[in-house]
Amino acid sequence: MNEVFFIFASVHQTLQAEEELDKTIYKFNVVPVPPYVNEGCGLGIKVGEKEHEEIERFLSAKGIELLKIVTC
Amino acid sequence: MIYLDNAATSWPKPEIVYQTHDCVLRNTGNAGRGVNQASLAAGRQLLYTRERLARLFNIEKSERIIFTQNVTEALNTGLQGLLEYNDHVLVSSIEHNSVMRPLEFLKQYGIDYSVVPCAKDGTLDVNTLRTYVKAETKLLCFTHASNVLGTILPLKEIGQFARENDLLFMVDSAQTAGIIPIDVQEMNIDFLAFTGHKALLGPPGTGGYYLREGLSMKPLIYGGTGIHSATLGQPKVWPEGMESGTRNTPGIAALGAGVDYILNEGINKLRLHELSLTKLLIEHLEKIEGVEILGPQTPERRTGLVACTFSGLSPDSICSQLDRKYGIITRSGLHCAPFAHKTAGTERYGALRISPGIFNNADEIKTLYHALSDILRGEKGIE
Repeated sequence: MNEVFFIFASVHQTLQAEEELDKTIYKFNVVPVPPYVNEGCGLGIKVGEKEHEEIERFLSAKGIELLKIVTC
Repeated sequence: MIYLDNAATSWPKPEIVYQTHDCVLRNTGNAGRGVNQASLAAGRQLLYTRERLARLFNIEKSERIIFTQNVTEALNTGLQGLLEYNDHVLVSSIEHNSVMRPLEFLKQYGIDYSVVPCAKDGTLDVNTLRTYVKAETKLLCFTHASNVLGTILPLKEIGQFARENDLLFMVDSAQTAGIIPIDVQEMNIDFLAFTGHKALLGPPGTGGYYLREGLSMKPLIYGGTGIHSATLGQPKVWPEGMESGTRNTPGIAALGAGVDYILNEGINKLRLHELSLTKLLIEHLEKIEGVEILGPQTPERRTGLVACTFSGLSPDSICSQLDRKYGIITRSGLHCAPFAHKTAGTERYGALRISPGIFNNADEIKTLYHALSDILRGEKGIE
């Protein structure tokens, strides 16, 4: 199964996303993003592949924009 | 000690402010520097304080709030970051040196300013602004309240004037943030500078600013931000791109605790308490012969501070005696605001500023009154 990383423009947005996801039952982790992903703030949120579209919609509804989605 | 110098810095702080500072200093790392738990914990503290401030000032996106070490740094960032060659600024005649000195510095880069005169009590007729606007005018930079006269300026009306004339509106809220309501949307504020250690009840070394979304400006300081480390250019991402160097996480977290205290207590309740002390203070000062109270005579039009002069007597001497003989802390001098003293006509000897805070009570005001009465009975004139 692939791993999906949500990349945000800032640490601030990443932690805002974490704060919102903490209130849900979604499984996620705040993780480092390798430097070759040459965008974002160096942090990312790893989520399950099956849930990632649902989580993306959830964050969007909370006004938190994703910069990029990376699948490894 | 009776502390009546809250316009300089508030004291004491709510107990939770001390506890938060200690806890965060002991338990967190460097915000935005890595994904270790200590760094993330620090980052969450910054987020928390930003969100509390956003609620207090009705700011839509908390990422538009940037932390600095004080309001002076915030004002410098705004003035040096927004203004360019040939720009013109309007300020009031009760501004602090934290605005006047950066503007004087910027003259060498072709940036000019005009001073809109206030009345002797610091009040401003917004209709006079129009007279001073030029084609080059870009910014209105006004204090919310004078740190000498206590006079509250009509931000909503000034903000409306700025909007109607397509001008940017910058506000120095050093004397009001946390005790007088501020709504950046209702007041049309583009740039709000605040300090953390006064009515926001945080520790010294904290402050910041808000810049409206859609506006951009140069940072004051460039360097490590914890993000986009591989690129040499400064990141344009807010808030991190504007916060080079390690933030004062324990202080900012403690500031968040202070703002929380204000939100929980209610800013109007705190203001009413301060107002009741101001009224009592004015009533007592008026009983003393030879005392002239500066600023508006209506307490509702002023903040909690009351500055006064004494016929033929030195404010410095009275301030010193209050401190050394009675343990009562006040402040004399020019209060880093010579323009305001010139407006009031007190630039030669300054004034004695008495500034109660939310933790003072009526008995302390009465003790001050008796001490002042004692001192004035024995004081000789200025030689």
